[in-house]
Amino acid sequence: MLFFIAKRLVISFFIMAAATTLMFFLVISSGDPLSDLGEASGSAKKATIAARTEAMNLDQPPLMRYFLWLQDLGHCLVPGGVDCTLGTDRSGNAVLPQLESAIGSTFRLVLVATVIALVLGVVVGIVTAIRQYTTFDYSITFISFVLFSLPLFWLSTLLKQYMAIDLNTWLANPQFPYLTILLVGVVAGVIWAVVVGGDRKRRLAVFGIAAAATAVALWLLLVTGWFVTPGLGPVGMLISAGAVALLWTALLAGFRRRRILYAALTAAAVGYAGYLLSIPLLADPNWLTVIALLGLTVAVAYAAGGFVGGPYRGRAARISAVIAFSIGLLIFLDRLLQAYPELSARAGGRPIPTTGSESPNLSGGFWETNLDYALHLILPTIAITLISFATYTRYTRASQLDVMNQDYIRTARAKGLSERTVLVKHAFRNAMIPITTLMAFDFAGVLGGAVITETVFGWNGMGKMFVDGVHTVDPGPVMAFFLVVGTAAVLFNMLADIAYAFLDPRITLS
Amino acid sequence: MRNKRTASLAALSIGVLLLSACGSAGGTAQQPSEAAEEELATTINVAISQTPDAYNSYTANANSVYNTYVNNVVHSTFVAFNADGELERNEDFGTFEKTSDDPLTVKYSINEDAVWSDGTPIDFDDVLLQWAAASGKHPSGEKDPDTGAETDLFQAASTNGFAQVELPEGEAGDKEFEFVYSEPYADWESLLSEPMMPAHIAAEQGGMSPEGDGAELIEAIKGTDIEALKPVAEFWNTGWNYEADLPSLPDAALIPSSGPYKLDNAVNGTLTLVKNEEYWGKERAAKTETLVYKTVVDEEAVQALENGDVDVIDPSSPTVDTKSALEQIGETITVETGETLTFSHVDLAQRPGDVFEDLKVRQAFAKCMPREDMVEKFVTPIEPEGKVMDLREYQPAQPDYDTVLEGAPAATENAELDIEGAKALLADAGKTEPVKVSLMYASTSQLRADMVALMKDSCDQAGFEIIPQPEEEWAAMLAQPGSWDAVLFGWAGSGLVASAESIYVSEGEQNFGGYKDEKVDSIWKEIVTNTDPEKVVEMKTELEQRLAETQYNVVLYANPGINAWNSKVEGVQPNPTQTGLTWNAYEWTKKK
Repeated sequence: MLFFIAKRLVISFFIMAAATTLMFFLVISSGDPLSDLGEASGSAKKATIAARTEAMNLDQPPLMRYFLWLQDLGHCLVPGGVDCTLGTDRSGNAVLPQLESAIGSTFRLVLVATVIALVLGVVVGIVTAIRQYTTFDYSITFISFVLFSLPLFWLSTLLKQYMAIDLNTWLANPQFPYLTILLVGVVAGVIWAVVVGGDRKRRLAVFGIAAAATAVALWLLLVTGWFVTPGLGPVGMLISAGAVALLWTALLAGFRRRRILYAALTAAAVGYAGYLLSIPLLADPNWLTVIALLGLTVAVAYAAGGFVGGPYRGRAARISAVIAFSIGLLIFLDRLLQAYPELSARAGGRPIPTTGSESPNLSGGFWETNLDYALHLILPTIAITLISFATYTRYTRASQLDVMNQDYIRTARAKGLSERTVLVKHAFRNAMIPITTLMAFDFAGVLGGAVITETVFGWNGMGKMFVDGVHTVDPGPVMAFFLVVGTAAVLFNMLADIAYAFLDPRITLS
Repeated sequence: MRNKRTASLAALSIGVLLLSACGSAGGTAQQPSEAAEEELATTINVAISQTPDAYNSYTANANSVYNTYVNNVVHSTFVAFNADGELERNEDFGTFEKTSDDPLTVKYSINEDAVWSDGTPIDFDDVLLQWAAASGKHPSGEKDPDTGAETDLFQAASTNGFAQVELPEGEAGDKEFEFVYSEPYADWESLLSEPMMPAHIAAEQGGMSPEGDGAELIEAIKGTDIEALKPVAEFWNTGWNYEADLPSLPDAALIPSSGPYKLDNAVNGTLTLVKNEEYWGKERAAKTETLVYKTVVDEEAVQALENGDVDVIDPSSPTVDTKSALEQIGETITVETGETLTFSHVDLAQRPGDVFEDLKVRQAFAKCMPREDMVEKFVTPIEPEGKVMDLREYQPAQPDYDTVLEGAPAATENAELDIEGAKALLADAGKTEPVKVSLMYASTSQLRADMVALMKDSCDQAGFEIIPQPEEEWAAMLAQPGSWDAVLFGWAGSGLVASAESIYVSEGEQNFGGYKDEKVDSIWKEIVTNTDPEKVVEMKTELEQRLAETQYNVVLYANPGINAWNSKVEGVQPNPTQTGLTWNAYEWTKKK
């Protein structure tokens, strides 16, 4: 394994070296770096040309310029000595600070969107594969193709109109007529009925329950003023913790083994206790505290779950850890939402912005700052998610179907395993192999490819840096961008290869 | 049985519908209190389409309108253009008057109380640094590789005017000083309209002592001590630059302000200004605590305004869609349209051997231009008052436009669309075959492409054959004779008297078509050395008449502009000059 990684790193280094050379010469040959000065005149023009020549080394031959860039890069790799700047852009400013700020916002944007798209895409993909050729399958196929072909600038305009401008107006006075509540219930009922499937009677029952539950939940949220002061609260948290425990148990173990169920409920209790105990600690924490608390909760739940699990010690402990982790995320979300009323008031009652990556002059605590980030993330994340979602669903569906038709699945069914075990343990794991490759490519791609998203939502990220650099024939920023994106691509492909070895026992890395 | 069930189902449905139709769930608990209505907001958000890139906007690299937007309120100047496009003096900062015509001498005095926001008085060293930087009299000893000319230590955006000013006399700490011109300069009134930079910071950063009101720097400039000035000039050139896309501001100590606001912080391209507590003036004192500049690209500005993310927008090239989108928002925003000082025109290549060498061909081209049609399609839908423009040095938004137009009858002679007349002129010129015209324009602009299509439609009937030539690098190609026959682009009028000289004189740097006329050259010579504002209109009328007679180019129309702001904001007055919308931002207030 170590040998494999070392070998890959060496190869990757040479790939990157060759790629940067190619990239550098492509950039500097892509146009005239002084072309915007055609209209200028007089001393301004001369001075600009002189300044730009100095900043971009335009007086040197191309090969020398490349070596000078390599030298700047070298300053960053060798510690000590000259400051690491990654060279200068055409105005003479160091590139590194720009890169740092660009990476920060782009990672926030891409990471959240990729994770959401992945989870949603894989779940929906598997469900469509299981319910192949049903109304649900056809609808999802239709929707994902529509989303896939939506131009982003148009999607973003729609999102801004409905998810920001109109939603903000609604949030100022959140109310629905009863008819709307009813209709939302009916729509939710139809969706659930189609997803769950079964015979007519079962579908009717599902429809009834889902419609009623959704309508009542929405009504409750409205009358309790949830949209004014959102959050889970102690009661909501208790119910959520229980639900999370049951959900994970149903998915990962089933209810046949009672000891595992008890372990799951213990984990939920641990999580809930963590929620109550952490209230004073989470008043204004930092990331370290949050992660430490999360780790502690997971560890305690792992131990407790293992203890209660008895004969199924290992599995019970793992499921407990997953449950505790999920509850930890819920607690985080709950605390984040508690900062909402104040932030909303500060934004003049219009909490969801259409532009920018953070509010200026916020000077709030941990929760305000992060909720502010989250609110700014809503629109661009939905935009990127909707488009990546299509790819993930289609791939997952195809690969899950592929696996489901394999002989060993039939064998698993034939030996009497429950449908859950067949799907989750035997089929899903193998279906994930192609998705891993896709994810590696997608993440590196989105990292540099979120140009339009960044532009329309006013984010200063990597994409903008790259496009601006190419437009002005300025190799500094473009190469900095390429270093990050290229390294990410190489690195993620390596990670994907390592992940194969874990997912597929036929592959070894040595 | 079945009937009964259907009936009861129907009854149930109707009942539910009736119940649903009346009433709704939810609602907000908080109602805005009456008292809050009266209060003023502490922050106003301004959208700009590009991030500012430097605090010193007078360097060649940073001389952009987006820096001016910010500098309008963080720097005080003696004079600036107001919303009518006229020069307005800033008595808060100081006063000035012409004391002699020969040699031209202007006496300035800075307000006694004027200080930088760090408490240092604004006085002679700041003025002298401004002069040193802009006068172009400090050769660096290095040669420009292209032209062979020696470059200056300071990379000033322009040396116009300052180059004619003799080294000002004065001592450290003086608040009064005189500018004596070696030769008359027409735009002397607006000379100190560009921001002055804090000399004590430049001196300190250049390794000099800022003590004694900058005496050391003053000595160095007086003695033209190139070695000592080199680090100061280096700082002046680049030390006030922001990092690209404004992830943060430079050290607060380096950027003291002389205006009603000062720079406070920047994150991710969003710049925050706060009230300058040290500001001494009454008239221009800031009325709102904080101004925030947010970078929003033009296409997204309307939705950002509608959502309340920004309060004031100034989209740089508005279209009909921009206007209709703004109008659909309704009463919560105020929209104002107007004509800007930027105008569209077609320049013609007229060097010997070029298509438009013959005056008749130029006139024929002017006659076949569907100018009314273009105005109707591209201007009046945005600015209903917009009309065809006939002059070159005056835009319809300026008060003197009509007077000059009356005095220059030739300007309206070829104004009407006249296909037959164009045919006759071409026949006179001896053109029997269709005259091929390669018409260059910016390939990135849909508007320009649409305009060229209209021109082709019309002029091809008159005996031209227009070949559209969309170019991405059109700006660079302007100065390459032979790469185009005609070119469609825009000039930004400045409101200054003499700044357009190089567009019209023979061998002028911006005279891209190679136009040559001795009379025009001699009129310009008079204009640039005239110091009497009264005579300007008369001389320019003569100039306009001559330019029209010789058909320098074809002017089309003044580009329309749109500004829009949240109706709760008061005090916004669109300014068509390059000073831009924020020229009076210190007056703006916003109701809560």
